[in-house]
Amino acid sequence: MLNYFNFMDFEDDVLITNDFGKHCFISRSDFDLLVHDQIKAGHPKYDELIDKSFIFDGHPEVFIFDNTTAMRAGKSYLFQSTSLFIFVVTNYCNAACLYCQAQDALSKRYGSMTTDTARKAVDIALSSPAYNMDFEFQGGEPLLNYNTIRFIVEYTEQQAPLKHKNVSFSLVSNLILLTDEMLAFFKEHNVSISTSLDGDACVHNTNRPLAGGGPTFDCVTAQFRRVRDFGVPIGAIETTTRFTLGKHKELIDTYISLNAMSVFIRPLTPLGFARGNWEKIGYTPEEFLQFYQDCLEYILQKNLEGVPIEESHAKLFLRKILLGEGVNYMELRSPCGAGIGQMAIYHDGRVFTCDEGRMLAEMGNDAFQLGTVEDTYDALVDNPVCKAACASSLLESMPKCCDCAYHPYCGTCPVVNFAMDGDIFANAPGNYRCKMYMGMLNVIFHILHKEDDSIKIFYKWLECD
Amino acid sequence: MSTERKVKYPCFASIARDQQTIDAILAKGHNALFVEQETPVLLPANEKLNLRDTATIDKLCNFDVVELNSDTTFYIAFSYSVGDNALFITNKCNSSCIMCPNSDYERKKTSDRSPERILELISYFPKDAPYLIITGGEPTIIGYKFIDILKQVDKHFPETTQLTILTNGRSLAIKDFADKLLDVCPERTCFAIPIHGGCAEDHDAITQAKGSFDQTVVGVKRLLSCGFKVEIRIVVTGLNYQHMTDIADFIIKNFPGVSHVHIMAAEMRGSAVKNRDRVWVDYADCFSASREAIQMLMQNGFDVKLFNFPLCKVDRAYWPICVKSITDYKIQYYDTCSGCSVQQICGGVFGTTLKVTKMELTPIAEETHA
Repeated sequence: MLNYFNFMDFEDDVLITNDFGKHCFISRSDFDLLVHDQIKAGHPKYDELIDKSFIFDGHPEVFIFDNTTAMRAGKSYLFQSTSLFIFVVTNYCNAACLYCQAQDALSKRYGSMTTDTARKAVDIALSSPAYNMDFEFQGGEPLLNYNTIRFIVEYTEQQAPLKHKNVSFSLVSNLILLTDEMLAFFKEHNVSISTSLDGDACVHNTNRPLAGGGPTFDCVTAQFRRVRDFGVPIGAIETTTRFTLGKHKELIDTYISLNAMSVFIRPLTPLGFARGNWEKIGYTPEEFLQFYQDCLEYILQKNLEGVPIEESHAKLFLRKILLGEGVNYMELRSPCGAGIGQMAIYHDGRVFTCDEGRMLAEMGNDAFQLGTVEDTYDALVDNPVCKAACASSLLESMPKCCDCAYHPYCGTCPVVNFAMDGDIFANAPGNYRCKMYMGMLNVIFHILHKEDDSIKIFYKWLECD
Repeated sequence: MSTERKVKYPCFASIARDQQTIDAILAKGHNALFVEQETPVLLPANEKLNLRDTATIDKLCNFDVVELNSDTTFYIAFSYSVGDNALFITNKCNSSCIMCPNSDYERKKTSDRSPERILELISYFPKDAPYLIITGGEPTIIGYKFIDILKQVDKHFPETTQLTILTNGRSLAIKDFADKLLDVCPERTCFAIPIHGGCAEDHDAITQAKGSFDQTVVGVKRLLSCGFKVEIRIVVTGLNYQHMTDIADFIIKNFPGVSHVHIMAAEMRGSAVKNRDRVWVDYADCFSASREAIQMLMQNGFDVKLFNFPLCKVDRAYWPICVKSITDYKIQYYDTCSGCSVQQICGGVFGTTLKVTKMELTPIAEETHA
């Protein structure tokens, strides 16, 4: 008997996927047999299709009973409450990145988070029922408010054991202002670091100049080495602009020269400066996808040559595709993590559904505000905005997404939908994010379909966790 | 040279199938029953035992616990494989429910284990037991000694062992007793408490104990206010199947903190059999009568499950909430069940019920189209 599945034509085969996140490439003729429930024991595809739960024998209720745990596993992120709290400790910045998502030319509310606001924010976070939590420091440039970062870390370490919580810290920073004292503190308190590195000196300095002009590449790469040699975990992410297109080799080679373990290739989010500057720095989805494919192929080639660098975006997708994990990456879950998975606390005490929600507020639209630090955690989650964000990111209930073969791996962002198209519900399949994610998944599935040595590399990446 | 001494029966023993297990058991000062030879041997006394029920012995595994009687019968006190992790306190009860699966005689029988023996038994239980059910009769009827037992349970078992106490909750209406009990009771304990009617009149008519409803309600509310997990059990029989919505309504209005409601089909044994004329209604009718109550409870946020109902007596839409729960050795299926396409997910029926009621079971046909 047939289990429910979605399908799409893929190169000369058909790609089928199901609610367990399993996938299978099947020939057109076998697909025809499958649709008519004609694939029985003895057919060469039978074992694989049974194993991946596309077909089953016996009563449907028995099949459901036997697979309840697998269904739950794929959605395991739903069984925990908010666990990622983003503390936007300041929106001052020493840089002027072309695509800055954290600011908009119209933004006039500059400020830094006080310890009073920070204390209230931590109290709210620690009252979320989840046991394991991440506190992430962002900005502007968060090191401009290092005192509040230090306060949050110390206050949390005092409070977390009393509330039976396990909190890990991370910092998103351009590292230009990193002092020895800060570095020692981060090491002592296990704060891991994420920084932006957009390519070689030429691309990086174009994308990410200092405020008032001036290069940052040499400083960032030097700091990267310094942090890593000091024993603090550090990773770098890349944001793609028009200037990066075509320069995938330079980008990857730069990361390799730093002995970076991974590179996170990301398209622009059309919020903040990026939106205003789109003509200068933006591109079509097709242009980005060509770049992404070039990057991934070059990275795989390097891996086959013995350089073990991973691409983080692909790895997220692969954890879902090959391992069926309920990956709690906020943008690729259904429903998304707005409110129920993450919250962003702004320097002025306003609390938003997520990072993107606060970026939209910086553009002047606070539609995704849940409340303030004067509210309780319960009140914040109960805000109808949270429910609206969840309802509009539930792929299973959206007309085109529910039928898409990529639906087990994908995600939509109500904030981006709202900012770009004026509607929290995605106008899929034509919209920007859809084209991006579909395109990236096409690249990955193309590699999986080829069934060459690249798959071994993918599995190797997945082992390293 | 073996140490021979007269064994005092009844005695406890842990099952051993290899030398390593024997050593571990004896090291704790406990008795070991070595079963990997023709005649089981009780150690350290080195006494050979001609136990009659060898079939059951074969099913037991290392560290299961048995209570051996002088007449070569034995009782499984704990078993990983046979799956009845229950600490049985007493047969006695302060109520006398018409559909009780125990008989009047069993309830009044006086040969209960002393609290001291119960404490000894607890020490035999493996610490990695996934759960423990404390039951009776009414376990709290032994009074303040129950609190000592609970203290020992908390000391013996780690946080990972789920604890459930089956009680009618009436003794928790006594403030002093409740205060002392809840003080030592581990936070993770779940109390499973039956409600038989939506008002005192209906409930007390079934328990045959006037005032029992009010006492139980006080007990439940006290537990909820102290933050304990409470599960309400409703045994559906001919006595109350027409009042299911009243009961659901009462639970919704009065016990909002209750997490689970378990609706149970009755085991036709003991008093239930004696009062069969009033108690027995086919499970299918019990289910139909409960349908609305189930909906009401679910819509009000209660997690509802059905216990002891075979799937052929329940609407297919409700199969996901049926739990396969009857202890292995109590389950039976009819011969016709072997042709049923969902037998492997069905809980079957109590053997006792099949014998007593001759209820018909219908195998579910296979489906050719999903």
